[in-house]
Amino acid sequence: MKNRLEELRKEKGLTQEELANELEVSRQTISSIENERYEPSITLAFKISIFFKMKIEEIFIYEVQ
Amino acid sequence: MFKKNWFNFILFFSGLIIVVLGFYFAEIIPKEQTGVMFGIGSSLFGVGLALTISNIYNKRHPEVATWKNIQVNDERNKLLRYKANNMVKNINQWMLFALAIITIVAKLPLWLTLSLVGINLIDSFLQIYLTNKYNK
Repeated sequence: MKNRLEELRKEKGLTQEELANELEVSRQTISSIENERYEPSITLAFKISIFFKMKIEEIFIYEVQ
Repeated sequence: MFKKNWFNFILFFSGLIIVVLGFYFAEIIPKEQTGVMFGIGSSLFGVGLALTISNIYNKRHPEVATWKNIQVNDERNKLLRYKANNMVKNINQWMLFALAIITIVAKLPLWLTLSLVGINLIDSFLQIYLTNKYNK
């Protein structure tokens, strides 16, 4: 699933490590989500949306196959 | 944290007591039993000591404790652990199956073959049972 995590993180001037600490996940998880190698759980997706004060669908782009 | 420390101390001291009792009764009871006492006692002692040291270290270095906590509870790490465990389980099941065939070919005692087949069957039944249980 495509997402805007990297773009939003850079807009806030955060490193992967800093964002990971804010969301209480590992840096590798942030990196994997950004590279679309891992799709976060609904809980983590909500945490991310709350952190960036945006709707989930504004961050994660679902494409019907 | 307090309860956790008490549990570690209980492990530590019970291990120590069992080892000391093993030494004390070494002349009276059979060697095998003192061996078991040393084994269990030193294991409990070791685990209790390691957990106590780990707790003390975590208290002094909260940043390391937080990092460890994140690494353990991280959802991707959990998923990777589940995947790895599942793969190991599958490999073990195939190895048991192969061993069972080897015991037949090598004409080893029947109880050995049946034990291996039995373990495989228990594994399969447990998998079906747990899948149904978690499905509810």
